[in-house]
Amino acid sequence: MKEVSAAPTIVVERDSGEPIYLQIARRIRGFVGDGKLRPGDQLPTVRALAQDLGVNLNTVARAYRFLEEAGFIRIRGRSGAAIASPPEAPTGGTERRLRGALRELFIEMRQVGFTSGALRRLVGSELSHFLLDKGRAGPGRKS
Amino acid sequence: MSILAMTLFTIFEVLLVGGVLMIIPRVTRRGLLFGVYVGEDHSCGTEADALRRGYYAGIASTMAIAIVAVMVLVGGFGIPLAGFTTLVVLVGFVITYLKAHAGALRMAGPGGPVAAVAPLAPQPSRRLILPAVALLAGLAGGLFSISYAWAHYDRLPEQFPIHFGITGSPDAWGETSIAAVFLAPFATLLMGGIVGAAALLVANAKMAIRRDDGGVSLRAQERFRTAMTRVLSIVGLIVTAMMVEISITPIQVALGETTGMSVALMLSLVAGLLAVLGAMIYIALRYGQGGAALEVAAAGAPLTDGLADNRHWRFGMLYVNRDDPSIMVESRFGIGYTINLGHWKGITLLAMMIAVPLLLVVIAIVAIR
Repeated sequence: MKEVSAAPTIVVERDSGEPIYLQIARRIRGFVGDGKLRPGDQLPTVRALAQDLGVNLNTVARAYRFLEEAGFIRIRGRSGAAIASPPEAPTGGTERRLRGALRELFIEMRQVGFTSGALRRLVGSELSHFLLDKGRAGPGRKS
Repeated sequence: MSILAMTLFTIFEVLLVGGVLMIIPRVTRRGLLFGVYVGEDHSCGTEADALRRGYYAGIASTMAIAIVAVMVLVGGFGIPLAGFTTLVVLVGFVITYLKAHAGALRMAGPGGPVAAVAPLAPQPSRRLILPAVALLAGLAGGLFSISYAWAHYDRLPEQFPIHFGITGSPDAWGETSIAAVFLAPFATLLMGGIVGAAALLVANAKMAIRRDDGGVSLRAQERFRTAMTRVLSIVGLIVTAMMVEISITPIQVALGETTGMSVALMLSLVAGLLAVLGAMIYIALRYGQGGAALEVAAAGAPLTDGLADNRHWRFGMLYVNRDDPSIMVESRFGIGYTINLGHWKGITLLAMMIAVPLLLVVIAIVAIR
């Protein structure tokens, strides 16, 4: 188990306008993305996290459900939640959903002025950085 | 007790209570000032220093008045003032504190939503073992005492010892009644249970850490919380042992099985409680409130959530936040933790802590009559 003081800390901005459950979910997803949280890492219980953040229990429970539906965590009853191992390959439904989201993003980028070349360069550069960071953080799946 | 011993004891009491009150501003986390979050820089400025000087002068004056009163009333006229002098010092403290608190409120900004920070790892369960043992010992000691009283009640004579002198022998007797016999056993159950529960709640108390400080304040607070939990657990175990002795011995004395309390045992338990008091003062000086002395490297980083949000504090000492599921939170002014009065469990706990001792006093009065 990761020492509490060595664990990443989550920050919630009360005046940011973004719902708190989305902030919690986004931060945890970010830590998974950059390798600070690895598959199998335990998360605090809903009560402990709600208490430390001073927010309603339902807010944290909603964030955890949101992450579970997206496949980032698995919830194990009262023992809490843990970061989920990604499947070997995305299911057909997930791939279709993400492909659609990516396409929406491309459309938006074109709309705000990205040329085809600039779009290709940006996507290529971000993808390289992401894969490099993941490589440094180690394998994304626990055996 | 001779007049000289009584005078010295009462002066010691004034110095102890006043000394603890003088320590508090020195061990408070940076950013907090007399129960108000004024910001990390303001809390070290000249205005804050002036408020602290005023507070120290107020407490010192109160102590001086109390000591003069002790020398005249106790030393001159032999009037026992033990306990009353603590009340005098506390009244002086309330007046001095409220003045300093009002000054700190003037220094604070308008306030508003603040960030909250939490570690993303579960707390290790081993920290709950000692407080759980203290709670279980409190409940077991109480149930044992009640069972013992229940099992011997029918055999008790008409007279029952209701008070014991300093030598451990009974010096007052009353009529045997359910109130007289069962008062101490029920007090054992309730006091052992409450102190044990408090230790368990402190072990689970809210973490209020600084933002972007590399985990310094989190580590400091964990060490502080662990130390407080241990001390409270030990207090719970000592209180339970004392109360079981106080519950069982009068029954044994009434039945002629023994002549009085074991003085050696009671003295060792009192020595244990004094050691715990010393440990509390040590924690305050070594760790600072909430680990303030250990987080100096991060003291410039801003405080977050409950500790930084002035809107949820009344007089800087009472925490009232309905949205916060925490029962125990770190004190803003004082040493240790306080109850969230916006949570129904916190209100219930406080009500029990007030009602139970009151009820026991009422039962004691009925039993003595």
